[in-house]
Amino acid sequence: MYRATDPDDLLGKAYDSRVARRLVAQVRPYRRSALIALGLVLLVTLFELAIPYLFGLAVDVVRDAIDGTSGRGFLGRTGGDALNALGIAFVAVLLLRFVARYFEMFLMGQVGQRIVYDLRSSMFAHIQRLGIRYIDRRGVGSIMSRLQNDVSVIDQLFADGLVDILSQVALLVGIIILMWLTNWQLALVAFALLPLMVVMMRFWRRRAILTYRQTRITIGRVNGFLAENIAGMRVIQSFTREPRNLARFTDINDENLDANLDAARLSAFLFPFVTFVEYVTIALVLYVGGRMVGGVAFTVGELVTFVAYVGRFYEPINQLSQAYNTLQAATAAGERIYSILDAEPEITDAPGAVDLPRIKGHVVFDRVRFGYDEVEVLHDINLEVQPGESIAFVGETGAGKSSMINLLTRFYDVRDGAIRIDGYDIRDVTQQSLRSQLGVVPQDTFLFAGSIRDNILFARPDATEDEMVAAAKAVGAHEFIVDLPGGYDAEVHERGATLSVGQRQLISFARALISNPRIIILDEATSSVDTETELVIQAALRRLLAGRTSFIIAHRLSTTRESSRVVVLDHGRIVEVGSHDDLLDRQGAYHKLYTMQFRAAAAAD
Amino acid sequence: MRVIWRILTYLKPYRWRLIIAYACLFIAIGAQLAVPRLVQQVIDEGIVKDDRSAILTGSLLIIGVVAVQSGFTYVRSYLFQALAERVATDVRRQLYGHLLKLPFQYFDTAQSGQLMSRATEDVNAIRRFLMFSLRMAIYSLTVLVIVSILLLREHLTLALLSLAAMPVLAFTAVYFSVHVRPMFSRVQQQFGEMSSVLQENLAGTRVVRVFAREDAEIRKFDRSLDDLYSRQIEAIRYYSFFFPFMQLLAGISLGMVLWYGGRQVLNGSLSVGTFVAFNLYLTLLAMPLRQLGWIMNSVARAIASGDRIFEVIDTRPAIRNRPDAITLDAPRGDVVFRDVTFTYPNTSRPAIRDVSFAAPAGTVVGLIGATGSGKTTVPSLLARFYEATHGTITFDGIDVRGIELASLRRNVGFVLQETFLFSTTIHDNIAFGNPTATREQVEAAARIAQAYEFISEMPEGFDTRLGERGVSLSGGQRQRVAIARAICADPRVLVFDDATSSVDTETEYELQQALGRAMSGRTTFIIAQRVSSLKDADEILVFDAGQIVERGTHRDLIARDGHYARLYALQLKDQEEFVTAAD
Repeated sequence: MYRATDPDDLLGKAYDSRVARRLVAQVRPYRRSALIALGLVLLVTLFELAIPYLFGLAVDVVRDAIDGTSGRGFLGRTGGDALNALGIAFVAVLLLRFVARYFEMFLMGQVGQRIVYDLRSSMFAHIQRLGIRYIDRRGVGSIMSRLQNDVSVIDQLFADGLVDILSQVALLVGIIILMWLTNWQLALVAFALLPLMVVMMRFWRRRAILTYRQTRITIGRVNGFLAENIAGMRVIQSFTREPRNLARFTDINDENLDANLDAARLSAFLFPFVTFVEYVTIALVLYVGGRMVGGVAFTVGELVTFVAYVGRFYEPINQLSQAYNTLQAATAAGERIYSILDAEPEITDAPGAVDLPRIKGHVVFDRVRFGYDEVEVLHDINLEVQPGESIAFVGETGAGKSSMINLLTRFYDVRDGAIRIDGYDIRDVTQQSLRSQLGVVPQDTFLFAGSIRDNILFARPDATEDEMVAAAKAVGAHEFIVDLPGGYDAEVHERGATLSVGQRQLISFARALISNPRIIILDEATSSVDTETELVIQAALRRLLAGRTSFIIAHRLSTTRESSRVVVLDHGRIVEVGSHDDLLDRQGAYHKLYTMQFRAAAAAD
Repeated sequence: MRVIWRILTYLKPYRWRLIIAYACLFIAIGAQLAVPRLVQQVIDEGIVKDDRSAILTGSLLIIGVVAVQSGFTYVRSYLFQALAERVATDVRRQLYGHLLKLPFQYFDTAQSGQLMSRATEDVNAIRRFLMFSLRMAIYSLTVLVIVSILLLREHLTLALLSLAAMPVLAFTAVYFSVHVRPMFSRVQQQFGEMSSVLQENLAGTRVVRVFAREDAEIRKFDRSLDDLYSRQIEAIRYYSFFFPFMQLLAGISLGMVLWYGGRQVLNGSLSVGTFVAFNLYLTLLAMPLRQLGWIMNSVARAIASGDRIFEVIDTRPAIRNRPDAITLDAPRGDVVFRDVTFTYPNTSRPAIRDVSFAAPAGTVVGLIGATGSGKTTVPSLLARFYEATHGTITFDGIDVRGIELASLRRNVGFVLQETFLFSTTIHDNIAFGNPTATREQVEAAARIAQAYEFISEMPEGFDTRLGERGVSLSGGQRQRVAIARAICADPRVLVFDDATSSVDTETEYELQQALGRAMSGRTTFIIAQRVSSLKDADEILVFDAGQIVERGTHRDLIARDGHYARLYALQLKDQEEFVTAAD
């Protein structure tokens, strides 16, 4: 069962005391429970040690009774009386150990779960404060794995690791002390093979790190290959690559087998080796101890106790090395967890930020410069938009259209210059008050799992039923929604799979409309839908924009034609501004951009 | 149980290793059980009688016996692990090999996440079962029987008293494992719930932020954490009781030996050594019994996992080669559909109905219609990704059902709507359908697909790696690589499935150019929603609700003033006028 500890654990960085201290600090709110649990761990250990001791006493009691000598006895009794008393004591110890272990396990488990809860909750809350850029850069998968796997490793640490370490250390110390007190010469004999054990374990561990790394790499390859091939199965079959890919998979799969066989060879060694050392020690103790019995005040019972202790002596050593892995893994996981918690939000509310009052929708881009990194992508942008105007941004990929919108929604801050809404610099107002007055329709219509109602009300959960229906009617979504089984309560499946592209768009429009925003920001979808759907969306769009200031990244001719002004962007600069007709007359960049698409079609006639 | 048998059949190729592994296991058990006996000898014959040589021989014997035990334990430990790894490797390979044979319709319904978890989690469950339970079940049974016999022969009443707790222990272990399983699966389920809340929040992070809903999201996530917490606590409370309880039961047996056994020594019916040996034997016995619950769980898991794996393996590939299937040599690319009807499984309405047309070699056929009108189904039937329900489809005059699958598909090249590229080099992606292609051939294909320029501008050119740890291409670039891939395979029939839908206008223009060159000399099917892509087609088939409602050239169809002309009016007419006016 060598997989019991994740190979990752073996690869963990060396134990980092700073991270460990922070992890320990997580316990603070629950220190009472934790301290009680620790006390119980020590009690359990005590009971654990008492069991072989009592048994050894029993051996001596019977031995003395047979020999007729007055030996150790128990509580001043001998013979049958002593045996009865021992039996009662034994059962009492067992019961106490049971009770102590129950509370210890439960309390420790509870503390662990509390900490896991705290970590996940604070990470999630912190991520909500971090910039979008952070999530884009780290990737959804990687952040998920921090909250799922890394926190689970910490869970493991508190559930087993910590208790194990403590109880094993206590047990080890207890055994050593007891052995020493019982007979120090014999204790030295018992410890004789310890150096050999330690050396072998270290050697083994070094080999294991390399071997397990190989198993981890190869199984990663197997799973990566499988995942990609399942996702791309249509392409594989279309290009009749089956035999080749099967051969490739067999290779990768066999490499994993080889690595696993290496690991098996290694892991098979450890357990028999420990057993062997343990029993050689027992044999030594029996031989040396056996010759002492009858000599210097050493009894058979003490020898039996001694043998039992030797048996328990190697177990903690073995387990401690496992616990060390858990500790290492937890430190590594903790480091990754704190890297999220320590990340500084890039966009924060300025000290003394005020709430943006209800706006009219006057927007100014004043000498705006911006870049995602050193490279500047917007240069000296100046644009004034009157309330109620609709602005269409056009331009090639990378011209800066998305950046304009990212700045207006304050997902990023300008590098230079300012954006003002109704005279307020958007950096001087709270993000909450800014964004709640913007109606945004992202390009990728993202709907959340839940009902259509939940999705429309997403922007304003306190809106009334009438307001919701009004918003849906306004964008022409009401009709198809009431036709769905369940109507507004119909479930939207993962990524909105049960609805058509057009229907999802309309819901997304309704969601933007529900808070009756003065400014609409819309990133038009590029994917083509069939013509009828297109017409429905256009009509909805018209109603969505009516009377509001709007900014649209436009991909459709019909959209630019209906906007009040078209802003043509090229390499981060505004190159043309004007109405559709004006710009066509000008025969400039706009004209060129849109003729390109249709020239080929027209020429064919 | 049948599933377990079937899992065991995978051991057949390794039966000698299995037999050796069990032989080693039995020898190791024998040695292990001899040790308490030897300890007893040392005490009774050596120490009690003060016979030094007996102490020495006894101690040496212990070392010898343990050496045997350790040696054989090593061998059996390696063999059982190796067997499990080999079987896991075999199962994985069989599973993957089978997936390659399953038709598209299987992947339409099966979720890729589900299939992945079968190849990983479920294979792992079988691996663990073979590694652990296969050995433990036999081990526990053997130790149980032998130790019981030894103890009973030694001292009947003491044995019965001390063994009395064992059935209770076994029962408790099983009871625990049965009852804790649903608790853990509830935890697992809630963990999944929490993960999907998290996943949605991260994937939809822009939406959350633009609507300033962060606080509500935090509350929602905390609620899912609350649920997770309470389910965890439920499970913790349960096992916090049962683990110590099982320890208690095992301890009570020892208590029996101590008290009752001690009295037997006093009245002379038991030796001190046997008294000690009893203690050691009982310790040996308690461990496998406590593992009983573990074994049960592992077997149950292996059955569930085996079921899921065999369900995939037992899915018969619906589309197979006929025994007399022929290979196409010197294919031309004549395609004829005659009264073809096809219904997707689990649907009642046919996707296409009575579709007939002929596409002579080298012609261009356009397929147009609304989403769900059936236009994409046509080429999938030609390549036999699905099997037509009625009617016949011929390639070069031969019924496609009589053509060897690989040879048919090699001659039908697809550029699919959603471009899937593999995480390998650009070269390997383009050469995907023709792995022996030279660099020159790959470059030539890239040139035709208008991909050469941007590829050679990359730092490593055609050796640039794509995918997660490599470069990511834009939508237009991906599609051009996909077109190059189709060209490189040099099929007689090319299918473009709405290949220009998700790119910006400039790229669309470039792609149109690329397509034009790729088509030359091949039979080409273009599936489109925009009329502009189809104007050059030799024949345009207009689909509506699974049927061809109009056919002809662009000119014919405009003149007819029907369905196509209406689409044209909606999409192109005013734009065309605009261009004419602008020119």
